[in-house]
Amino acid sequence: MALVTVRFYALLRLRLSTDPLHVEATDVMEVIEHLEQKFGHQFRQEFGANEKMRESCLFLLNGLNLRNLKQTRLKEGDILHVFLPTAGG
Amino acid sequence: MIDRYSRQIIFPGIGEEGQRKLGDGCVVIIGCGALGTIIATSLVRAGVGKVRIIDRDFIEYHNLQRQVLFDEDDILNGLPKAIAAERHLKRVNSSVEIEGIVADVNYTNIERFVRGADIILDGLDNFETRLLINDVSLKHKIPWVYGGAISSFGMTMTIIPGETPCFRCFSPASTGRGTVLTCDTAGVISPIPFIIGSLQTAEAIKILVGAGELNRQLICIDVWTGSFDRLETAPRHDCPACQGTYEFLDGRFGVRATSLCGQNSVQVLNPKIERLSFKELEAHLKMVGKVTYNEFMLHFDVDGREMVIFPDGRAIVKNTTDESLARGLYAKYIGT
Repeated sequence: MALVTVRFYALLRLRLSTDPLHVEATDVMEVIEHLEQKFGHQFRQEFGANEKMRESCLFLLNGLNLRNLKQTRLKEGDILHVFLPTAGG
Repeated sequence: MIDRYSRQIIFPGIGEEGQRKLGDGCVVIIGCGALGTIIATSLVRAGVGKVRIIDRDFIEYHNLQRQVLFDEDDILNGLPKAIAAERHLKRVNSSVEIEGIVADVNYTNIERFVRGADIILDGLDNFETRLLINDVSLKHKIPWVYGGAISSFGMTMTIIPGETPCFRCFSPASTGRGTVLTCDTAGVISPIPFIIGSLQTAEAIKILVGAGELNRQLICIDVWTGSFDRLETAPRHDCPACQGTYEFLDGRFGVRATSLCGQNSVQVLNPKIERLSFKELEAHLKMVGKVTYNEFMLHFDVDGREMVIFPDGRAIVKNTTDESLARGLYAKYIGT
């Protein structure tokens, strides 16, 4: 288990009313499960189902875009940035 | 001439040589909403030699709150944004060659529009065209500056082909969930596009002058919470665009609009969407129009337009044969 920091941006930060969040987890999927437990319905409503969330959300782990969350192991001090797509201009 | 630019010539980062480089420069601004109007007016005032502005939309009253180049007369005259921008800016600086183009930028025409550009500025309201800009930028090695603003939040990053991660490196795998939020569904306050557009403008000036420190990180700003973050992004090893595969420019992805013969309607297809949640879509759309739905389709009435949306992301825009208009409405309210 590693203690990692989760940062939220844009409307996600506004809706979840929290940033940053510190989570102990082994991999990114565990972080997501933790967020589902913590925010429950609100989190699922924002993200939809897990599979869709992985496709349509932007996750940057220490700046690197994640596309395969299950295999992404975490280490102490990692920072996970989470965005919802915003298209305005 | 010198007097007009005297204050920025005094600035050591530009000087007389920098001013000459600005005068020799050519920028292309794709999208002329809040970001685009800030960028366009700033670059024309700065004396950039050629400014090409491309936009598919008309001006509406709800634009005036943040789109600084337009006024009520433009609406009364029914002007497209690109034309109104060109007219206003020619009165600001007659020495700049300003070209307003009313067009729906897509994979068939973008290479023509960016020909000769030293830099491309993003004033768009959708992801799809940004991914198209990204492809054309990488293919022709033209830097571009991404900018996005919604609600009180905005992001920007400068993409230099071959040097920085590209937009696709740090974009989501798909934006096809059907609930991509836009200014038309989530709202926006004017300070955020003003700030993001100004940062984009500064990047354009630095690139044209060839001086200053470019923003190679993803800047994230929220003017409501007062947060300013800079995120280091990294290239993605399996990014198709960085590998020279330009899927959006090749027309493999992207929204397609087709006028339905004899029906006075346009069908819009978005191959990226597999399944829409009408419940989620209703939550966003009911803020701006009338929404009703059943398990088969969702009806949405807004600004005198009627859209019928299906679970697979397909939409029919009624009472028009204008494919560009239909794509625009789709981008605004469903998101691409």
